[in-house]
Amino acid sequence: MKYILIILSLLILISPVFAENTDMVTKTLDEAINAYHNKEYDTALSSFLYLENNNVVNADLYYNIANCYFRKSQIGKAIIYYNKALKVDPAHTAANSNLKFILTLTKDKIDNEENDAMSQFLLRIFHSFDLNKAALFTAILFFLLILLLILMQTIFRNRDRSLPVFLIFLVLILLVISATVSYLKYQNFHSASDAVITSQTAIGYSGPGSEYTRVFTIHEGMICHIEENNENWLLIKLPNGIGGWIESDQLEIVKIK
Amino acid sequence: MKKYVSLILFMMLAVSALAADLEVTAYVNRTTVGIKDKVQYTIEISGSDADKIGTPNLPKLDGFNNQGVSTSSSSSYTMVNGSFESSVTKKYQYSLSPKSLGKITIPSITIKYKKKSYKTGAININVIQGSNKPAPSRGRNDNSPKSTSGKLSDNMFIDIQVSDKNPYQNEAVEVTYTLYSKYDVTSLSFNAEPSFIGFWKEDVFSPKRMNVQRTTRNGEIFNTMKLKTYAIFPSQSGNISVDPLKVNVDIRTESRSIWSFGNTKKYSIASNPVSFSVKELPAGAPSDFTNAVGKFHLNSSISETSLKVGDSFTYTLEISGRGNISNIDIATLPEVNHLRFLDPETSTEISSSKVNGKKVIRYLVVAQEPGSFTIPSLSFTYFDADKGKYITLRSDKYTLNVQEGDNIYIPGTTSQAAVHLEGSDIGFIIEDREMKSFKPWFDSILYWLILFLIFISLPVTTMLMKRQTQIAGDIDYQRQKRANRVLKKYLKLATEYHKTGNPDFYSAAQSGLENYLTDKLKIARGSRKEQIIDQAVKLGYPPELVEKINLMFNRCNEARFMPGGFSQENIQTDFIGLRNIVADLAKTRIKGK
Repeated sequence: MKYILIILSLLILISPVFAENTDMVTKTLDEAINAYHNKEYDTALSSFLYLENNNVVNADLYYNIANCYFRKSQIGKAIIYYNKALKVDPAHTAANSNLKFILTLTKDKIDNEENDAMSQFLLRIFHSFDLNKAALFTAILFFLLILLLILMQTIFRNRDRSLPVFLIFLVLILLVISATVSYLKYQNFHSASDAVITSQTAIGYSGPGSEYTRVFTIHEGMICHIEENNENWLLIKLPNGIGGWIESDQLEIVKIK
Repeated sequence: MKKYVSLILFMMLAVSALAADLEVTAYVNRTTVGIKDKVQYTIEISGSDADKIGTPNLPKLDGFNNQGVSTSSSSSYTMVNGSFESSVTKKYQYSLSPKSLGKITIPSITIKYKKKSYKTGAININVIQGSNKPAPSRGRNDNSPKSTSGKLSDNMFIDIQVSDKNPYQNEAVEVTYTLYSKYDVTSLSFNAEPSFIGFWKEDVFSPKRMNVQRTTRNGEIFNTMKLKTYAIFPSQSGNISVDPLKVNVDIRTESRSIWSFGNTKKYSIASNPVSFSVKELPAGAPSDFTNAVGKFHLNSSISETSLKVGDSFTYTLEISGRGNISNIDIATLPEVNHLRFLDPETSTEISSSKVNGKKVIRYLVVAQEPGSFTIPSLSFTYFDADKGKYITLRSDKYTLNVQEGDNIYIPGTTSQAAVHLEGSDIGFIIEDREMKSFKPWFDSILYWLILFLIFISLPVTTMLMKRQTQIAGDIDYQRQKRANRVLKKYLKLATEYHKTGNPDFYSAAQSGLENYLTDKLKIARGSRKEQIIDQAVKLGYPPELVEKINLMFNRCNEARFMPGGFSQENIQTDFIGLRNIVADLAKTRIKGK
């Protein structure tokens, strides 16, 4: 009884955060979608971005922002937002197909690593649900584990315990897997290691500074991995494994606030 | 009995009928002899009945003196299909000496046996001046002809048989090479095969192993072996000569003594070159002539004449006959609107002679539209070499009736194309007006709080459980456990008192029961009898048992406290009563608290 009271009071404390400005969100969305319909992509974009700046984290919103950027021919920005949408909802089909399409328009061919069937299968499973589903699953498994342990102490106190012991092991294994997946997803969600080139061209140097040897030239829309951060220079790694230093204003990191 | 007799008779008849086959050959040891030499003329009769024939009568030989005859016979038995067959060979060897120079003919001899006559061939002998070194004497039963003349070419050569030396262009010609040898040929290898330049050549026969047969040729006996047969089709006109066929031959020479088997000698022999004079095909060939020369027949057939749209049928053309069948073309079918002819399936069957055969062309046709259609007649022209003229054959004309059907004509996969992409674009925006903000639960306090609460419930339950067991264990549980022990102890005591008839039995029984029941029923020790009985009833002890306990308590009180209540007689019945109560108590379960 005491606990329920605590939970309720906590919920009441948190609820204003959830209920925050729903009216405002709906209104702004209305504006943005209408503008998009009228092909006023700048207006639509600024409305969508306003929502983003007001801490709305939503895959559909990111997807819409990406579409606006695409209409404005800012491929790099579009790729960033499609990736953001996929971070929130890895199973977002529209974002997936649009990203696939838009990547064919980039100047640099991005070699996708050829994964074997097994890892492809695992990756597909990994991307088929979002972070909160993983969290929910983990919580349920945790609950089951605790419940089973309680039952062991009460009902099964003086009885044959082989079934609950078996179930506890099963749930424990699933819990470990689920927790690992959740952790990886959580890391991925908050990661800031992927970046997309937003300037027309970007030159990669062998060191942090333009006086070093030029290693490569890449173009807008190239997805890369950030390895190191040195003030204004970033060491990036391209999908094919080549690394180089790039000025930080030529790319944008895929990151959810 | 009759049956058997007739069967045996029949068998005998059959045997004699089979055996009646005779073979009569005549040959000489050489065809060219010196005037002083002798010719050995042999008549060989073989067959199962050979011994039944007497010495054949030589006709009058004008050019020779008959110097006597020697007879030899040999028999062999062979097992054919499980039955014995005997074969006897009788040889009559005449020694003839020529009387004059020049050509002398030994006429053919006729032998009559069982109303059948067997004729040998006539043999020409060339008699020359002097002596032509007679052959060394030969052993008896020497079946194989031996070299009798020193000249190799007479004793071993390759014979060529050509079916036509003056063919038309593209006409089939058969060429056969045969080795003739008087020696024992042990092995053979081809040195050079004719190249047949200017011909289309097909191998018809190649020997797979040594296969030597005996043949008489011009009265002389030879070991022969077929070397090669070709079917050739001249591809150009004019005089063409063909290179000789060359073979290497190993022959076994005669043994000089019984101790040696003779040596092997190698010879290389070649056939004569053959020349052909190929005739050009006469002018005035019809336009559909496609170099078919020979004799052909044209057949056509159709599997169905009445069908529905989407159905298919087979149209078959068959050309058979003798000639350059594998090289001929057939005019392709003209297109018929609304009939789809799939690529034809052509099969050619040619006999081993490479000259006879047939070519079958099968079209699978799909009817695409309803209506009446005609498959036109096809013409095929060939040149008949025997008649020396062009002959045109026509196939039948077919009329088809195609009706509306349920099947829809589906064009072949080749005409099917992938969906053409006319442009590509991104998907449209999502017009959801309620974009709920995504918050990772891992970032919310509530999630962790819930997890914490779930977790906390475990030690809480553990603690609760522990406390409960402690409480229960301390008082009731311990007492319940103790109850049985107490009862046992007093019962033992009571049993001992009973044996000695001691009145203390009653006090032991009472304390035992009282202590046991108070513990079991969880009431304070030293409770009064009424309290115990009340509690027992409350907790569901059977009424009879309660009554018995009550009675026992009363008996104890009586015995202990009432004067004269104790008697030795009663102690026995009370002991039995006590034991019954204890047994009943052990069986009774109480409801709990």
